[in-house]
Amino acid sequence: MSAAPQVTLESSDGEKFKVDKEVAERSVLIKNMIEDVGESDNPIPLPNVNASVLKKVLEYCEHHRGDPLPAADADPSNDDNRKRATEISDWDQKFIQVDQEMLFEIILAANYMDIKPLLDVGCKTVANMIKGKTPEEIRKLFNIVNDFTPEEEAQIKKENEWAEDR
Amino acid sequence: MGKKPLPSLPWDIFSYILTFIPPPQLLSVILVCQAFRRLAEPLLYRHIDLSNCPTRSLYLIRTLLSRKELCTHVRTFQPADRHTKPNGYLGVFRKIVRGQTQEHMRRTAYIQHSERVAGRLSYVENISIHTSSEQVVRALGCLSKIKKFRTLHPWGLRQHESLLDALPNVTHLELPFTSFFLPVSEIRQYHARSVEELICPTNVAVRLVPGRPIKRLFLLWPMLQGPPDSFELMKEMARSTETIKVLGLFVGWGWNWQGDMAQIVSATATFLPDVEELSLKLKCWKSNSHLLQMMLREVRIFSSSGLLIVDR
Repeated sequence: MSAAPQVTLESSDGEKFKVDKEVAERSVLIKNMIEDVGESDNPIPLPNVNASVLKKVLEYCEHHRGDPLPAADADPSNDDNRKRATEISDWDQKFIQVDQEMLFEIILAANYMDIKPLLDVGCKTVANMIKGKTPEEIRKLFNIVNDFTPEEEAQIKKENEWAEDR
Repeated sequence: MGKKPLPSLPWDIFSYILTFIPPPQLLSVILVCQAFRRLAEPLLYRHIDLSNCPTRSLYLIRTLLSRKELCTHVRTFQPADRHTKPNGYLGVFRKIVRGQTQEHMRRTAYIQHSERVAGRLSYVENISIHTSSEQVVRALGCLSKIKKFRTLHPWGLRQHESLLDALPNVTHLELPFTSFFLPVSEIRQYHARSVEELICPTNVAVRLVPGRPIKRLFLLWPMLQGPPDSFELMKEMARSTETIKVLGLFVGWGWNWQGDMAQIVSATATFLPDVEELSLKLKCWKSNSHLLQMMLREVRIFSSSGLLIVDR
């Protein structure tokens, strides 16, 4: 088993992670880097990801190492709200049960490292946090100040009356 | 010390997150703050589905008329009535039209199962029929002044044939989209030779266009048949006419803005090279609004007087 090729990743705070190449290549960014640079013993630097986040990300990649890779940019017009599946598998759900700060860090890292399935898991989780909440509850969630005047609020409600949930 | 400030997510990621939220729930998101509104509003208007709630159309129109820029986000539009009952929906839009164009309405007769009215309409030049009653049709037969003839009644095509024979001056002819379902062999040649503006389904147009000086042709739901068939029909029409300057397409359900638009533009340029203006309209709003106009030669999309819908 030890014959599997390995690569070393270096987090922003200098910690090194030795992982199977197959695992690291769940990240399109790393896959491209390896392709560009070729096999090398030098660690691959990830200046935007700290050790605790990278550990978490690699845990995800390790679990999903055998999954088929998502088709590259299958159809950009597919980002439709209507048909989107928002289910998250059991393992992923447990994996993503972290505090909000870590959740956001994971999303940022997945975006930077280009790991679409992980980005989706993170984004769906945030979406699920938003779903079913009132505007005030959403503001609390993200620490946002209401910058609408009462008149504006009434106006927006009136404009979108047609879409109200029935 | 308070909580460490949350790492903020870039707007593009946030806007991606919002695509996982079903449209009705985007309403709460829009009301959070100005920045959220800017991100969520385009998503709410991307796919409009009014099935099962015709009365909401009025609210939607009200909004779109006052904030036309929202139309640029629309990619698909599902009108209230999905199947073969356009009447309820048209009724809603007619109400709006009534409020807006009094002058036009004064000269327009809407007749619903009331042949008595027909006899008093000798001044009428513009008529719209919502019934297939043969008595009405016969009563109208004597009205030689009629220039604009419009029927919205499903299945009414054959009844109206005899009437059209008696109307030598019709320049504007509008047939219901349901005449699409008639087999082409049943579409007789109308005698109204003077028609300049024709609104009908593509398969009906193929029979009606030849031999008439038609300048403006509007096809109803050209995609119902699927593009290849529609384009075959366009080709056939192209052989028999060089007078068409304006080609309009009423689109609605089943319309795919990305693929169909490109096909329509190239098919028009190939088969109907004399067309100077291509306009797309949403059938239900047709009375006032050019939803989209494209100048073929410039391949440029711009807003005309009314609502504009483009795919982004």
